[in-house]
Parts: sequence; C-alpha cells; structure tokens
Amino acid sequence: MKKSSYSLIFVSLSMLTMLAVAALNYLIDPLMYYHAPWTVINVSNDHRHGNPGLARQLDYRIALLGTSHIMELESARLGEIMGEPSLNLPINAGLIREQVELAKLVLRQGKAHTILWEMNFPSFSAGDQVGTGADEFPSYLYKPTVETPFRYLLSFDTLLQSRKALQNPGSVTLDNRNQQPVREYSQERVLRAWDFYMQSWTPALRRIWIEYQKKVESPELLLETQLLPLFRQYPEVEFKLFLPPSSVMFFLLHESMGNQDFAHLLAFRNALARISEQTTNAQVYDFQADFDTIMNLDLFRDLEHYNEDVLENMFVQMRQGANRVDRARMEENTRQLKMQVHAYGKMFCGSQPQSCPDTLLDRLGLPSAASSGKQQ
Amino acid sequence: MLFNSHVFIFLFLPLVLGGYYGLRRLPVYDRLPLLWLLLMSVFFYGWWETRYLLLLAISSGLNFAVGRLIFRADRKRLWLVCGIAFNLILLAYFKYAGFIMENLDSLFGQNWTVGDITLPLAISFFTFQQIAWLVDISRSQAGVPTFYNYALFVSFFPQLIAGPIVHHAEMMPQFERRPDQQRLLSNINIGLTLFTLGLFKKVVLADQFALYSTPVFEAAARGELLTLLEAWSGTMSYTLQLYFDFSGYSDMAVGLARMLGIILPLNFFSPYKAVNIRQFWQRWHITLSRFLRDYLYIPLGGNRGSAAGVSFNILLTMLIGGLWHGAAWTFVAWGGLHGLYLLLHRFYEHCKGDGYIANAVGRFAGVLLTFVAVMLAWVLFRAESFAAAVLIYKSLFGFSGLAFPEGLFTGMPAVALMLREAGITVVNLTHLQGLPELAWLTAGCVICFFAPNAYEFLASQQPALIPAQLSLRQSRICWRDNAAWAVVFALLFSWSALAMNRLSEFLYFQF
Repeated sequence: MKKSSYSLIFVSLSMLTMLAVAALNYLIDPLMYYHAPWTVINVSNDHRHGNPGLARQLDYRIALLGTSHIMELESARLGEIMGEPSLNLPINAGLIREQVELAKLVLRQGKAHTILWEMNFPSFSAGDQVGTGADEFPSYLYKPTVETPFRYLLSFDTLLQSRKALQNPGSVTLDNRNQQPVREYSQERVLRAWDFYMQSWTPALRRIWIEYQKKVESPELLLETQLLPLFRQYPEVEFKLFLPPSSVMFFLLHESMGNQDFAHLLAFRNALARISEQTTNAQVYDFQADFDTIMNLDLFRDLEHYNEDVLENMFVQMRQGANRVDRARMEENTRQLKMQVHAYGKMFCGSQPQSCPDTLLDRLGLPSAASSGKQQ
Repeated sequence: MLFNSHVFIFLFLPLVLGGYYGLRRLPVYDRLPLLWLLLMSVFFYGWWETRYLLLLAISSGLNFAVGRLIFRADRKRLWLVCGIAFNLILLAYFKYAGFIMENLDSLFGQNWTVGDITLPLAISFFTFQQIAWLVDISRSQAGVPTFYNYALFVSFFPQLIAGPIVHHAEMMPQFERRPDQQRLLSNINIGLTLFTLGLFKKVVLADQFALYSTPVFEAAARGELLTLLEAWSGTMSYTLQLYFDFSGYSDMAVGLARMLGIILPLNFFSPYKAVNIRQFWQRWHITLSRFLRDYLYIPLGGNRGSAAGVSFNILLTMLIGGLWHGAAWTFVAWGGLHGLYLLLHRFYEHCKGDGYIANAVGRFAGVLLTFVAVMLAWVLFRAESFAAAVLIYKSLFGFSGLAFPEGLFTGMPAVALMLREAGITVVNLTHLQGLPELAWLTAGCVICFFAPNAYEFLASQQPALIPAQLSLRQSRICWRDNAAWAVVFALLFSWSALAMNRLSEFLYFQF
C-alpha cells in the first residue's frame, strides 16, 4: 500500500463520519440554534443549553430572566399578564454572569423592548464565574465564535439530543419544561429545608465558603461591572429588576451563618437601587419587603421557592407599577427587613442569630409566622 | 488553545502543516519552514495570554545572551550562576511568590501579600529546558545555535505547554538537519496515529475518569467523610485519570512534532507496569526525572558518598520535584513520600543482594505494591489540603465504615438483601456510580496493566527518542500504515473529536 493511502483513508473517513454527524445535527437542530423547527418545537429542559435557541428563534417583546424562582411561570401566562408576547428564559441555579450572557444574547436579537430580571442574591455569590462540571455553561452558544459550529454540530451530546427529538417530538414544550415534581407548599416543608441546610452546612464548608467569598467579586461590584454597562448599552430597552420574595427563614439562614452574609444581602439590595438611579432605563421592584408574603411559610415549598400565585402576582404588580422602589424607599425597606428578620429570629435563636438550632421540625405548628414577626 | 479543541485540530494544525510543507517546497531561503514554526509557536502561546509573550521573549532572549557569554567568556561559572539565578528568580516570582509570602505571613503574622500573580503557562517547563542548556554550555557539552533555532527550541508548540521537557542535544540537530523528503508521508502517518491515541486517552478515557474522581476529592475538600469504597474508587479513578491525561498529552505532543518531522523524547512508558518504585520513575514523566537526575541529583553527589548522603540527595531531589509541580505543601509532601519510597526500595535492594531475580509471583506482587503505593501518594497530589488528604486516607483505611452502593446490585435485589441481612450496609452512595464506574475502572486497569503502550505498538517506526534504560520491544499487535489501521484510527479519531464538546484542560497545564 502506498504511504499516502493511509493518510488519505484516515482523513477522508474521519471527515466523512464527522460531516455525516454534523449534517444530521444541523438538519434536526435539537436546540433550535440555527433554524426554527420544521415540525414541532423541541425544547431542551437543560436551560443553559436550551435558552440560546429559544431566544434566537422565537418571537417575543418581553423576556424574563432569572433562576429557579421564576421557572414555573409559563411563557404564555406571562404574556397574558404583561399583555404582549413574552418568553421566560430561566436558568436553574443560574449565576449572574450566565444571566448576563443570556441577556446580551437576547438584546442582540433586538426583539425585546423590556427585560424582566430577577435579582437573586445567591446568583451573585460566584462572582464573575460561570457554571462548571455538571452545570457547565456552554459559552459557545451565547457568544458565537469560530468554535460554535464545531462544538454544537460535531458533538455526541447534540447527536443524543437529536435522537431524543426524533424519538419523542414535542415531548418537552415551553409549557411543560419547568414543571416541578413537588407542588406542595407548607411550613413543614420550609422547616424541613432549614434542617437540611443547617445539617449539610458543616463548619468546614462554612470556612470554605467564607474564603471563597473573599476571592470573588462582591455583588455590588458585579452590579456595576456586569449590569450597569448593559443598561447603558441598550438605552431603548427597559430593564425591570425585581427582588423575589424569599421566605423569612431564608434571610434568617443567611443571618445565622455568622459570616456577614445577611449584611451583604442587605447591602446588595441598597446597591441595586443605587445602581438603577445611574441610568434612566432601569427600575427596581422590591417584593422582599412584602412581609405578609415572606413570613407566611405556607406559601413556600422550601426556604426560597414560592407558589404560583405569589409568582404571578409579582408580574401583575410590576405591570401596575406597584412595589417599585427608589433609593430612599429601598433603604427604608431594607431597614424594615433587617428588623423583621431579627424579630422573627428571636423565636428560634434568642438574641444570638448564630445560635439558631440545626433542627426546627419539632417547632412545627409554631404560631402564625406572619403575626409573630409583626408583634415584635 | 488546547490540543483537544476544535480550533487547534481543524484550523491551527492544518494551517501549521500546510504552511510548513508549503514553504519547504519554495526554492528560497531554506530556514523559512522553521521560521514559520517559530511564528506559529508564538501565536499558539499568545492565544492564552498575549502579555506573557513578552515574558517568553525576555526569558529566551536573556538566556540566549547569557548562553553566548558562557560560551565565549573565561569566567563561565559566574555567568552560569547569573543565568540560573535569573531563571529561578523568574520562576520563584511567578510560581512561588504567593506561597512564600503566605508561609512567611503565617510565621510572622504581618499580613504580607503579593497580590494576584497569574502563573504564566509553561514557565516551569521552559525554565528547566533553558537551565539545562546553560549548564551544558558551561560544561562544554553544548554549542550556541542560531537565535531562531534557540527560540524554536524554547517555544516549539507541541512540547511548550506541558512537555516533554526536551533537551537541546535532542532538538538542535533535528532543527538544523535538512528535512527528509522521503519520510514525509511516513512521519505524517505516524504522527496522526500517535496524536489520535493521545486524543482518545485524553477525551474518552481521562475525562471519563474525571467524572468519578472529581466529586470524591471535592467532597473531601468540603470536609465530608467518605465510605471505604467511595474513597478507593475515587483514588483509583484519579490514578487512571492522571495517567491517561498526561500520557495522552505527551502522545499528542510526540505525534504533532512527528507530523513536522521532529522526533521528541519518550515521556511515558507504561508506568503502572513498573515492578518497583525506581522503575516507576524511569517510566513516569521520564523527561522530568531525567532533568532532576542530571541537573540536581548528580550534581548533589548522586549515588556517591555515604548512605546518609545518598539518602539526603534522593530526598532533596524528590522534595524539589514535588515543589516543581505546584506551590503547595501537599506537593512537597507528595515528593517527600516518593523520596521515602525510593529509600525503602534502596534498602530492600541492599538487603536482597545482587543475585536475586523475582519470579512471576514476585513480579506480580511488585507491580501491585508499586501501584498501590503510587496511588496512595496521588491522594496528596490531588487533595486541596492536608485536611482533605487525611479525610481520604481515613476512608481508604476503613475508618469511615464499609458500605456498598445500591447501583452495584441493579437487577440483583437478592444479593443486596443477603448483604443487608449479613449486616453490611447497602445504600445509595453519592460519590460512587455503581456498575458503569466499575466497568470503566476495570477497562482502565486492563489498558494500563496488559495493553501495549503507544510506543510498543509503533516500535518499528522509531516513534520517540527512547532513553537508554528502556528497551522498546515490538508488541504482538503492531501498527502498520495499511488500510485496516487507517480505518481503525479514523474511527478512533472521529469518536474522540465528537466527544470533545466539553473542553477540559490537561492536568499538567497548571504546573
């Protein structure tokens, strides 16, 4: 055999194999990256991979960004509330840098005049990082580069998704992709979640967390460096930023960590209002100062996830302009929140938040949470 | 740019090869192909961080100047000391400043810090290469090449980032030699084959083992105590991951260079088949061991002198070898542990006498003991802190109890029931993934212990420069540049390329 035949066979056969895979992936395009679907819409329930295609191919005037807190709201329902075609693009456990990348992609499409953006404090805890490992963030789908077609089309992962799309066309839709298996909301579930967190949050883990927080950019800095430039770059787009109503136990957990987490959270709230005043197209809505909601543990399924009524009500209120805050109002709300959490915490932790018990399930049936907090 | 990235494989590499072989055909300046390689190597390095191109330029420029001075001057020793000091200061600043200050600070409590210093890629590798060159000039064992050749020797992209640590005596003659037109296609074929083997090891094997090892070491870093099986499977996975990752990288480097007609030195030779720890170090990261032996251990006195002196030389060499891998005490401890292993082995050799030849059982025991010892040492190498390493050691030695993963008994509920009734815990272990993990671990071990390595497989083709202490024997299954192997390797390459969606860095990049 001629020596050139080896290289020739090697190159041509490998190219043929890869081209066949790429062509198949392109035709099916399971993430709708290159084209709208020819038959039914296949939606990936992996948000990090699925959102870019949705943002590129679907029509919408309002885009909703955020984390698992907004996941359960169907895009169609959001559209009904807001009165315009809307698209919900949540990222489960999404970090702020990931959300910013998604926002940039949405804005580049030029379809949305309004961005509704959930400002979830824990999203800011990883600084400027994006997800890795199992939650790896596919940056190549967000910022098209020369690598994008290679990584998307020349990929076993995409091939598997293509197969899934062929086998079960339309099985995952915009309406069902985020449905949660658990739809039970109760004080018991919240206290159970508290116990879980407190018991998993070992001293070693706390130390690592504190060290990590020293290394990453602060939430306030991220607001300035990641969000503000985006608001300024797209003056024609309205950014409605909202603080979701986590349960009071969520705030208490942050306070009980004893590492200034709660102080940082409060500072973050104020910084958000401050930043929004530096541009004309950003508004802030504060639902964390809705004490009737945050102290009613029966509205939550864990420390921070509320039920669909609370979720929908936020957008109803935003549309009406309710709960919109300026800098002064935010500072007052923050002061109130701090007071309420302290007062509520006394029921469990006495005067020392750090001495909160690891298990609270035995306190099930404690007096109406909302009223006990307010009585202090 | 990673070797296992699409940009490298589908854009950069064809461009380099096209330019190199295209320029060779031009009847003009015959250095053009090498200049092209130099240009592309600089581009390759600058792809990560342009500002460190300046560092690479300063380092190679100054070393070249000092080398010329050593070559010409009478006071060779003075210039040599200056040259080595420059290299070590550079390395100390970029790699160890934070570590040194952290330790000084913990001693004196003065809040000393040095700020964030990004570790320039490959600094450990190109520093060692240049020190070796300076030392050899001072010993009159090396000459001064042209600056182009020297710059290419330092920055040659196949080996720049993570080795092999090449020696000037191996590279310069190859750069100076006129390319052998007769072997062009043969070189391409061998290079493609080696590159494919390396890519497969990295993308398909190493990255798979990473899925099993990473959660275990991360859990230990969080302070979680692991069960016995989790700890063993995690440590075993890391042992295989590191081998496939680094040897895969080395195979790719050797393959890439070969496509350009350059033969690089062997860096791995089935290290887990070693029957003792000395043999392990003759087979693992061979070019680093060679550097440490020739430029540290032997100048310290090597095997000459008293037993205490030799022991000191071994320990110091291994401690420095450990520190070379990273600025952390865990690496130093890892090196120290290997030093102790080597001392124990010397003591054993001394006791058993010269005439002893191990039989098959003895050899099997030797391989097993060496493998387990190396595996236990990798815990220190991988763990993020001593605390995490101690947690893993506790689990490895059964201080956290035995529990079997439920996944292991999928489809065999009766076995699980029987074990439970015997008082053995069968639970859903978070960091152990049952049968698939067991299957991968078995496959990994079979490859490591029984399969011929890439160089035995290609033995008839002189795939790499083989050190004297190793003899390269042709394996029973051997490669030929025929159609059947072309199909096999084309499919292996396609498999690897399609699995490259998630780009992962090579473990040795951080060193």
